Amino acid sequence: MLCDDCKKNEATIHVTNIVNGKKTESHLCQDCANKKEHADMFKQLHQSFGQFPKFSNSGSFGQLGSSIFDNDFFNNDFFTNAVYPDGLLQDSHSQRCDQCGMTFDEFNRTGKFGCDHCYEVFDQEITPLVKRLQGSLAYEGRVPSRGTGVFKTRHQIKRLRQELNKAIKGEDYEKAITLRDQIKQLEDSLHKDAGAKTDESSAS
Amino acid sequence: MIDSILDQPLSQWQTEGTLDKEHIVLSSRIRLARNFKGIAFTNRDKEDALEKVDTMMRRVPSLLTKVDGKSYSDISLDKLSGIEREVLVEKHLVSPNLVEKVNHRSVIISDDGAVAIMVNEEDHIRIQSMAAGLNLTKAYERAVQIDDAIESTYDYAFSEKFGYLTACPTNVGTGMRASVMLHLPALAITGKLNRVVRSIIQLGYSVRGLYGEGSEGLGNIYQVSNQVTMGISEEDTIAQLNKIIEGLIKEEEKARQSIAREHSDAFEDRVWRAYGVLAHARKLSGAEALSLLSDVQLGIDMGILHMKSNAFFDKLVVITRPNFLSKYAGQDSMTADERDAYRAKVVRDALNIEQ
Repeated sequence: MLCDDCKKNEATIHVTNIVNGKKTESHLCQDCANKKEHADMFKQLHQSFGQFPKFSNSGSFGQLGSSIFDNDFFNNDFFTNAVYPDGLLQDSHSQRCDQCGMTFDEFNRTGKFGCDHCYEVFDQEITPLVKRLQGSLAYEGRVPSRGTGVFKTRHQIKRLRQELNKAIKGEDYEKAITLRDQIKQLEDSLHKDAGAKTDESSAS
Repeated sequence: MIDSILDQPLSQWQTEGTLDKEHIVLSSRIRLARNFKGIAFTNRDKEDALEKVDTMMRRVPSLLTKVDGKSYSDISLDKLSGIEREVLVEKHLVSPNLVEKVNHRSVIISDDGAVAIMVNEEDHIRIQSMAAGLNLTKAYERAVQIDDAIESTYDYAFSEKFGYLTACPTNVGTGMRASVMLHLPALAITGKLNRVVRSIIQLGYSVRGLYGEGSEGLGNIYQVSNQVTMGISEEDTIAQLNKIIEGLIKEEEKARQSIAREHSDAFEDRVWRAYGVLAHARKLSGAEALSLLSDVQLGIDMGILHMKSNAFFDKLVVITRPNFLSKYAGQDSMTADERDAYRAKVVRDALNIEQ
């Protein structure tokens, strides 16, 4: 039997597909099967990853399978009006960001937030979303040097502790001692900061 | 400087850098997505917000020069022709997304071409830093230097909980995308690419073609990048990606060895045929040129062909792109037929110089 696609080589791969009770058969040579697999894989890849950040195409988070954001029940005006005649739904879904005017419905359509303040206004909705998209909610990484002094120090301590554990595991005790001292110094400075603030507040 | 960016196929960083001998990794790139505090994101399309970011960024070139002594130029997209904007895309200096609109959109490019900051793309700014070969750390260090310089003047949108706040939740956290561009012809020829790509995807990294989605397989050039930006630091992301790329290089090397061992006659024939077409064809489409160039480059890497310059492939990949080609020809409008003929001529000339 010759390959269905190129009609040149002997078909060595036979695939039977049953979709909705309908049976289709294809007979391919190794080359064409590889090509097809390659094409299919990228198609899948785009469905799972590529298209993923572009919410605009899908209209909602449909494929992400969220019950909060993608619920036909809420999208149906008739039911919405019947169940929430007083526009109660607005509280949860049509709340506006007071900085940029974005609503969560709008975010749902476009997949993009309108400004930094949206992250505070929609915190409840964003938190599970980010967890699902990113698999984690524990921020690790760079911290701007201004305005977040305490946070930055806490972050540094966390990183140094990880290094300390590594050093101990690797039996690099000299390094461990230096790291321990660094951590202590940072912790002292945190306490001093906190102490200074308490002093201020008790004085006033 | 803008003229040299638009007219030269390669930037200084690409010709100066240390390309690896086998020419598997073409380049490394770091992108940091940043927004400013209290200003509506680009997608809100608010004139005052767009203008504010635009104005703020006008100060940045001189700011950066103070830090690293290099010169930076500020290029407003509305001052460029349509073809010139597309050339920036073809050279990977800006994203296709940036050139969709021109008002208050700009790009700040360093004189060596290794840094390109997009202004008013999906996020207020996207700092991009490039390095030749596999050198993510070098690219990252320069990106950080720029990030620090901008942050010393303007407040970023940052939260303790989410990290750097971005328009799209897929970037929130570090806002960093680290990516490596690779030429993987032997894996493609031996049919092992699918399996390798699948295993990379399973690790949570993405694999795209030369020009992102939909350009898979073009010239056997692939970009591998991280997907996750939360819960993992920049350094750890880079370390992980480095490991993946090193594994990928080994696989490509193995595939090359197996071609040399088992199919050397057929492969030699393939390389010389590709060379023959490139050296003599009177018409070449963009995709055909890339596919043949990929064969020829693999032939060079495997010692079958010899060329004078190391960056032959990288250069022609850019020159054969439609808009760069039109710009190169000095013509604003070329029909596809004219372009194919001109492309064939440019490639023939390039091969003559190389031999």
